[in-house]
Amino acid sequence: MRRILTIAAAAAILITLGGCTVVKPWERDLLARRDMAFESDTLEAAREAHIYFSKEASMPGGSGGGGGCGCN
Amino acid sequence: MVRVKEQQRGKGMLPQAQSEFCLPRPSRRLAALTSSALALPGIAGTATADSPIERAEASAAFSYYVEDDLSRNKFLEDGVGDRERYEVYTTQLRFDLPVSERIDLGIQMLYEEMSGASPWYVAPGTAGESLQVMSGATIEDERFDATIDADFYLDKGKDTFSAGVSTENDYLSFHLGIGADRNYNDKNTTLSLSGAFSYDWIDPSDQNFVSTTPREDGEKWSIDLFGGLSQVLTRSTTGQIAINYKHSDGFLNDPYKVIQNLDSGFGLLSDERPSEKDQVSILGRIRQHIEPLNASVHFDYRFYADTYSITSHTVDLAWHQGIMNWLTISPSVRYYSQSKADFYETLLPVGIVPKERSSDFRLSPYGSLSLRIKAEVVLEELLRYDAPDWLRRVGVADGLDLIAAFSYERYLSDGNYALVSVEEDDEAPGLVKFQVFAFTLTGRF
Amino acid sequence: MFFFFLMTSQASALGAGDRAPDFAAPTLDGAGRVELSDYRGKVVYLDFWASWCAPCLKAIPEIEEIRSELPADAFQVVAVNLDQKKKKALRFLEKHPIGYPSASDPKGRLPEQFGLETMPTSYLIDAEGVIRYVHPGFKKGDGSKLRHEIRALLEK
Repeated sequence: MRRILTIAAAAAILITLGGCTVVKPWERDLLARRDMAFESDTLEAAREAHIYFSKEASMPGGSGGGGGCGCN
Repeated sequence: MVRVKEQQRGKGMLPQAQSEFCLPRPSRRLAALTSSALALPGIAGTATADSPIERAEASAAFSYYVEDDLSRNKFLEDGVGDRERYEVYTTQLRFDLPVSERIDLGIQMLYEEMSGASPWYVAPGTAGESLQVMSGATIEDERFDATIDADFYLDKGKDTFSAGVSTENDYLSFHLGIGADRNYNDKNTTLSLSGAFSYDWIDPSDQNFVSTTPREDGEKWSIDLFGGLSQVLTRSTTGQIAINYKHSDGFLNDPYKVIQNLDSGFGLLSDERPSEKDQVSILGRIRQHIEPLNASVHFDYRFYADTYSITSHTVDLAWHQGIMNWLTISPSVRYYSQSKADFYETLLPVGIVPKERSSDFRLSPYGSLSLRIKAEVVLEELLRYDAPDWLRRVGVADGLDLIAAFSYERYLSDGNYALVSVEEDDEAPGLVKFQVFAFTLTGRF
Repeated sequence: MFFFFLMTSQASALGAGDRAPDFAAPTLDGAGRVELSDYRGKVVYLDFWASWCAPCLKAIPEIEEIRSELPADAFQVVAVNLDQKKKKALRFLEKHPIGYPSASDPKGRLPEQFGLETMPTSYLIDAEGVIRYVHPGFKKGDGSKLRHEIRALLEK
């Protein structure tokens, strides 16, 4: 419960900080870089999530999909 | 299709199929969230929450996954099973097509060939230490996976629908998902919500030796909910927070694993897990560009907890170094630590037969360290051509951009790496070490 | 507090019916100046672009095609490049030559004046200097839509 509150606080800070700086649409050259994407390689992300999911107990952080097998 | 290479000797047991290498849904959802976070007219070619991708894109990835042989001092040398562990060859394909002004279609497929032995149960050695018994047969197995997703772009964001199927010789899984992204604050803020439902059938294809429970077919269903917030923090910084919740119900045991009971008679008991499971994960990420160095830093942290009492922490740090215009070298490190499931035991003491039990190393307490290196080459406008009308309709333009990437990963796991303290009795002898070699080729047409 | 920030958006984005502000800016190659008032009496398509913006780049060859179809004494295109590092913009234009001038505004003063909400955005301005259509983004059907709008203005 405490951890969830901490994350909620972090989210609130993130939003507030964001509200302070507005980066204009024409100022987003750096953000458009391939190495600034949260994930630039879909297949690599899928493969890594797949491997870690198969060998560890945790579920991938961001996947909104279901499916899988009988193994975890 | 399962081809069995060798018969298991001694105990009259039939060989087993392996289902250790399983895939959750591909991370299209992740990609959608991450690029939508910025609502950019992305030069990276990925879809944004602002408008569909401009050009048709196709990607192919080939990877080779190989585990280290189980070390001699962790292996029960009794003539059954092999120290050689898993080896997997994977091929992935992906197509992204802008089919109309406001609609993108994505198709992703995977084909995989797996072979090797996997951990079966833990037995005591002569000095009382825990040793891993490997499954006797070396099995070859194949897996096929396909997902289709459609993005519908609106003025303030986009809606996504996805469906997929995954199949191996002993299981079949379907899933359906929906999601929505919305932009605010001059597109500096993106809110993402999504949900997916999946249904799995598992039909363990070979007899598994169990002492107390008859082997059964299993079904399970899951609901997966996701919420995320992405925020542009400065001209060179973005951040993201996401929470993921999953509820699973049904047959959750691993039918290919057993746990040894130190009773007289040396009984082997089936793996039994609760028939319901709740999982939560919270993810935070930062992307920071360092202009004078032509480099970007990525930092990810994930906290996970579930109703098996497992909690874990994952930290991922990557440095992306741009060299000249067309090359990026990215070394990265990942640290992971998990605690144990409350029903995990390597061995069961005499007379104890708990209702829930497992010796699966994936439920044991341990930590892992992974080092990776990747090199990516981006060649813009490698070729120019005049595409015919029908190709132009699906987004093919007048030039080819080619992106090629090679990567290598070395993963080590050990009880000593964990953040929690791991008792000697609890350290799973079957903890895995592996390497991954991968090559990806992407074309933007 | 969250909703307060949600409401923050362009209060003064120029739209149809607004007069396009007269501006003067150096050209991208530094050789001259571009002044919007020079084009009074002609229909003008004003296009804001940058080398890091994929739809901007996709739009440029189409815009050049439209420009070459129409009489130069009635219709002109003026581009404003927003790259902070001009080298990439110049390199793009070397590979995709255009027959119209591109001004350079690395500090982003013009998009601020116009109230740009997305990249790219273009403004179709009539012969009197009044904005008649605003084009946020550039999607596949936009080329033909643009041709219709220009012809409508030229017929007046």
